[in-house]
Amino acid sequence: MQDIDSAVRGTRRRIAAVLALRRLLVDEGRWFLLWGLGALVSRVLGGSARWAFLLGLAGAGLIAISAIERGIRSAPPVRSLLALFDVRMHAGGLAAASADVSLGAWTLPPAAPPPVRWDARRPLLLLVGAAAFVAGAHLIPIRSAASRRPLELGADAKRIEGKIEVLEQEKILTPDRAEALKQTVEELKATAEGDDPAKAWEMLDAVEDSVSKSAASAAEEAIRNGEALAQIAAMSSMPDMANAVRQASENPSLMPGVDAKSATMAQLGAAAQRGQASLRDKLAKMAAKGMIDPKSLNKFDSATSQAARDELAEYLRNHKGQSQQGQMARGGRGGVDRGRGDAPLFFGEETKSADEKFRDMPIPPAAEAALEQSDVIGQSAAEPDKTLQQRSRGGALAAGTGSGSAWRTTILPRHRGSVARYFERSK
Amino acid sequence: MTEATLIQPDELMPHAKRAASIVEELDRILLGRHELHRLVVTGILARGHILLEGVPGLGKTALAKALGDILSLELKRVQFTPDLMPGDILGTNILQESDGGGARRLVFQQGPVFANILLADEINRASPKTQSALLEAMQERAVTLLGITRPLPDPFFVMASQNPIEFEGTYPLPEAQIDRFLFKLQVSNVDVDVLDEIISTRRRGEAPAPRARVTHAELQQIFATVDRIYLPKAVSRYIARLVAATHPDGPEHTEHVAKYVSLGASPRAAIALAEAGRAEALLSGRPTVGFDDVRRVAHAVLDHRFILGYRGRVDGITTKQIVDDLLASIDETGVRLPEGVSV
Repeated sequence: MQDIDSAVRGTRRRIAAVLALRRLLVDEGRWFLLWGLGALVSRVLGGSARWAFLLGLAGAGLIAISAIERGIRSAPPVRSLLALFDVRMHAGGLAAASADVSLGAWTLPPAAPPPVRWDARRPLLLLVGAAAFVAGAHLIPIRSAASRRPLELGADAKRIEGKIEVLEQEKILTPDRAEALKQTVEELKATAEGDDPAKAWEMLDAVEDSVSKSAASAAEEAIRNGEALAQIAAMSSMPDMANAVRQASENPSLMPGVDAKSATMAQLGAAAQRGQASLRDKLAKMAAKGMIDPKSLNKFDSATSQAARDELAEYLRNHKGQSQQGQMARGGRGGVDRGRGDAPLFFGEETKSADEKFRDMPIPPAAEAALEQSDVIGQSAAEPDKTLQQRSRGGALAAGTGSGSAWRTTILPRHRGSVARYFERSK
Repeated sequence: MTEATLIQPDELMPHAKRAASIVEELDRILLGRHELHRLVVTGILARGHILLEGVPGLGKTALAKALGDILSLELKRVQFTPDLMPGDILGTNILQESDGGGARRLVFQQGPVFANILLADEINRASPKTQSALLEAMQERAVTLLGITRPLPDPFFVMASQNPIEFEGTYPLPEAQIDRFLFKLQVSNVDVDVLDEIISTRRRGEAPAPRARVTHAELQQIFATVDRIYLPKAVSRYIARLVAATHPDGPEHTEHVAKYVSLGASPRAAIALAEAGRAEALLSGRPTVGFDDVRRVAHAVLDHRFILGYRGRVDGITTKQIVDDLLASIDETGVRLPEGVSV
């Protein structure tokens, strides 16, 4: 228990402290949120994280000073606290009046300062969350929007470099050319930017296209060379060689020459076969790298195959003396879908036009009645002349204003009786 | 600058005891209604008019008579009826011949309003014209007739009664007049014990004569002491907030006020609260008006100063409930702390 003045002052100090602390937590929590947001934006835009941290720290200090000052200022005035004590003590207005007037002989009972309660969970939660946000904003790895965003070309560049190496090993590309292409790919890898991927991809495609063209050209040449080597290999085993060997066997004086020739041809044949094998190996490597069409390998095999040549020779033997003109002279079965253009034409199933009769069609009763009220103006196998009907559209009135051709005038059925009576009156 | 000092105990206490003795005397004369007697005396000490509402036979007239007897005040009773004219209350000019003969002049004949206490029985039975005749008397404590204003005796109080259950042939008091009553007090039935005591001690219902009477001079001194009761700023602020909150568009109005009240209390209500608070503090023997004093007279002052909307009438809401709601919701101290902080 203490006198009311000291109790009020003590209570006001405690309330001010609580309000300052509360204001500090709330304001710092809000500032931390702003700070974290600012740090994130700064780091994304390529600003200095260190400066963002220092500025945020300085701001936090200023906010703290301001918050404490505002909290203390927001403490309730002494007059209100005296009223609070008045109510709590049931002082009947004496305590409240002590702020304005002198009590004189009136005395107040000792006052017990009321406890100041504060539920700090929400502001604390806000502050802790905001502080975590600030820490995260400064610590999480982030890619700066201002820095270059490289384009990932590693896999494609590696594939193209592999092709170049194969072509260089197979001596399809000169070392200088291969080095220049590799250099181009390396530069692309280093300078390609994510902001403009089309440019990088186009350049890479150009390099790969160049490599593929070299490979395709080399493949064609290898097929041609393989074919030539196959012929050389076949020539090395020709029948005249066998005849020479047989003659030499009958005449031993020819043997040295035959031996020499035989050895040379054997060497030639072996060399040709090695050459074929080498070329096939080259093509196989290029096909494995995807530089040439796998069919090129089959084409090479076909060109160098002994069996294919034997089949062709067999066909030619069987068709000896038959020219292309002879084949065509044999003729076809005729018709658009039954032979060639020189096939004979065929006519059949002609339309019958004789002995055909028209079928009688009965006229409907209504149409028959209408016919009775009509005049025949003529008969024709062709379409009726409609101009006559159109002229009659004026009816009897048209007769007087017509061109004078009475025969053209049509008497309407309803006038027919009058006309008949006119002409019959003399009777 | 000299700091003001409260009225000191030796000045206050004799008058406070004298005022308390009036209540004690009323309690002795009329049994079983201490709170009503205290409020009536509070209203008289605050120089306010009092409207008593209750069914017949509850002792309203007896209360007024006893009060006049204790305070040594002249009491006149008027039974209000529909044909009562203003002149019947205020008085009228009559033509009078002089003693010498020949000369005639108009002489003002005072009506019953010229008394210290006017007991207006069943005031709501008179026509609005006659009811309105009391407006000036109640507010200005004067009567103006034919351009001549005549002051009423000091002190002057109107103690009116009205029957809340008979509405046929009655004229409800207009708002302007009902607002001039400081208190509207409900006179209710007493319990069995009190009834038993009345039957046992009051032959034919006659009340005993008061043992001690307050003289006119003493009453004036008590009035002067009431005037010196200090109203602290915190309490006056509370009164202002309370009255402002009775308006649907007031700053601290409650949900009930917004929903049911169409017109709140007037500034006269705030003045009445302050004055009644002073009188209540004197009766309690204190030199200052406390929050409890205001709360104690709040119903008597505010209950008859609301106009409820149709929703309030439909929902059966009373003004007493509205005032209870306001007293419970408005913090007396005005200490505003942020959410989560409390003292």
